[in-house]
Amino acid sequence: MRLAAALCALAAVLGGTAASAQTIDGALALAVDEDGLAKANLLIEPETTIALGSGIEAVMSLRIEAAGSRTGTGARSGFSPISAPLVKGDDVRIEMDEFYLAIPAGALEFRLGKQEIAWGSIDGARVVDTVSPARLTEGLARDPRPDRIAIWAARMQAIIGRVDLDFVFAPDPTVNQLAETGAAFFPQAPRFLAGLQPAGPLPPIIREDRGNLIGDATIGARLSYRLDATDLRVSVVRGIDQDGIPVFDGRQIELRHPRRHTIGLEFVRQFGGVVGRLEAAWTPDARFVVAGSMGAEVAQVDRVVGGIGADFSGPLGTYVNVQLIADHVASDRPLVRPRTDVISTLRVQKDFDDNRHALRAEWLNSLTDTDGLVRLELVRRIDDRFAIFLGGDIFYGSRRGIFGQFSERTRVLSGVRFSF
Amino acid sequence: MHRIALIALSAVATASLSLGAAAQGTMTGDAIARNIAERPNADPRKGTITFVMQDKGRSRTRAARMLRTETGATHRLLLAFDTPASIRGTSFLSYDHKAASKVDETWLYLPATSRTRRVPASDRADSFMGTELSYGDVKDSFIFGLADWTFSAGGRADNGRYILKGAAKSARIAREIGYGGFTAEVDPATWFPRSITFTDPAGKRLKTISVRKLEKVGASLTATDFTVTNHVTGRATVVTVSGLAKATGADDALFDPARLDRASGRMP
Repeated sequence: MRLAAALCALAAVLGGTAASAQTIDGALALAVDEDGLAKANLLIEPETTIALGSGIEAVMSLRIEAAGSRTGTGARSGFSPISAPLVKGDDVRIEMDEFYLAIPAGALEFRLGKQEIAWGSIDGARVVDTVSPARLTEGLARDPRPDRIAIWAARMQAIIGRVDLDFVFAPDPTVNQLAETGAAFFPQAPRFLAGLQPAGPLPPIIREDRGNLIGDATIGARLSYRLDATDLRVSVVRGIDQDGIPVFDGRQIELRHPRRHTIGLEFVRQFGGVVGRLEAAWTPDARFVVAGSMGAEVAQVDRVVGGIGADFSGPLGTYVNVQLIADHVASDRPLVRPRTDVISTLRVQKDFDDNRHALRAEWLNSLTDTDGLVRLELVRRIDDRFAIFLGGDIFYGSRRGIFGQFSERTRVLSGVRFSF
Repeated sequence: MHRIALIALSAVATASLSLGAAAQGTMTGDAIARNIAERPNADPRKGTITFVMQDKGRSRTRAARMLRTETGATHRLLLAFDTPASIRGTSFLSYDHKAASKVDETWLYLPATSRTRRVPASDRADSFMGTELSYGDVKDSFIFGLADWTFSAGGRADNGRYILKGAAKSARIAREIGYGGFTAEVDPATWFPRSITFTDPAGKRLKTISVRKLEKVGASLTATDFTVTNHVTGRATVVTVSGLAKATGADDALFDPARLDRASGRMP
């Protein structure tokens, strides 16, 4: 807390003495479901970028969130001690979002501080994109998706001809942020609850301690090669499992975060009017709960996640993104998760009326559990500062599924987004 | 001083026009298009580009820092948007390859997703950031893609400019670029189109680009004041470039797609 206050004071001093640019983004959102008001949320994100000369910039942003509904602001246990919110009330939360120095030095660039690291090419699914954790406080019905959480990291990027190198050392064991127990989008599917099938109150859920900043640090390297209309990337990430392994000891569920290694591959190519994307990740030491063990036994398995997708212009001037993602674990023993999850995604967007209106439709469909999520949104841009939106999230399918677990959370959303 | 320079430029242009008319009176459409494509464009230059979108008395403004350069056979354009706040941090990068066999490449960085995406070539016809320009208009730098068009010459206008006509080479290309054809007035002194009227893929008049002012950095010309008028919607976008200057220190790293995420801060 003292560190955060000192950094904020430093930001104020810098902001007063150097060329700077400020923005304030935010949104006020309301949602209703069959039980009434499901979400009332105000998010304000002020950001300052300060030019310190020679291309060096300091970037500072806050995330101020207030919520008074069943959706809430999310559990706090996912944050590491050094990334804990500055204000952590039940209804009001203030987080230091990004706080870093970007230092270019010719072909090198250093970025030091709290920052988002976005790897990967497939949209919405974190196949290779496993460095920054994500907010999952509304399941997969968040915007943007993934909604990454900034972490403390030292990053170096280098450009050598057609090769880009990216090295990350992040001594910040912040993990994915889940909804609070009892909140509208707290996970209900057995796979997220050590195989338990909640018919009544859940046992207490706690997080494994993650106070070892160095031992639990995420270390990653990515090499990108660009040739003509093709990008090829290879990455290696060593860090803690950000999803958490839910283990039941008879009294409580503990979310454990063992270290794991992921080797990733990305291929992006422009085929005339279509951009194709392929992404795959192999984790040789993934861990999942064994079925029939009452949630107490964990198996170490090989996990391979692959995704293929394409972007192109569709009929009537639409933008279309279509993807197929498969997540497979090689295990001789039955697990509480399916051996293979297959999810298809389809997104169609259209801007019309001189970009004053935008229509977005998205369909996420699990071919494994035959459940899914349909998202619709109509945006009217009032001017360059305000836009109002109306939409809905329709969850359907089995309650055992990633989407179907929220089948009673189908909701209508509306609100206003703003930027100054 | 400024007036003297203008008079001198005018005299040079007139002389060039006369010589050009004598020597090149029977130029083919392909020859005119090639001269446009081979116009000097290599000098690294920077400036601030402002788009004022006008519609029924209302206007909205977008402004971006601009960097252009040409290396080998590739023209590269980088735009980093500063205003309005809703799009601050958005960056656009294009590689326009002169070789018809190479596919042009375009990337867009959106702060909301924190990722740089390749933009499909089929999106060339889409509106660029809500303006009346398409992605293709922005990256083409007033050069007609030799792989996209079948050219023909339409003689001379009363002002001495060449009339260049183009027809999209195929229905697919017409759909991709959003245009079925065009008629342009090309200044033979600079090989810069001063007005272009496009038709849509069905042949209906779609929009007109009128160039009012050109500025030179080194040997390279940049249109620093032009208007795009959409005849279907009645809307217009006025584009101006201010502070046009030679971009010293514009190294290759600035035009690397991996560096789009903070492009504005890195620009010289």
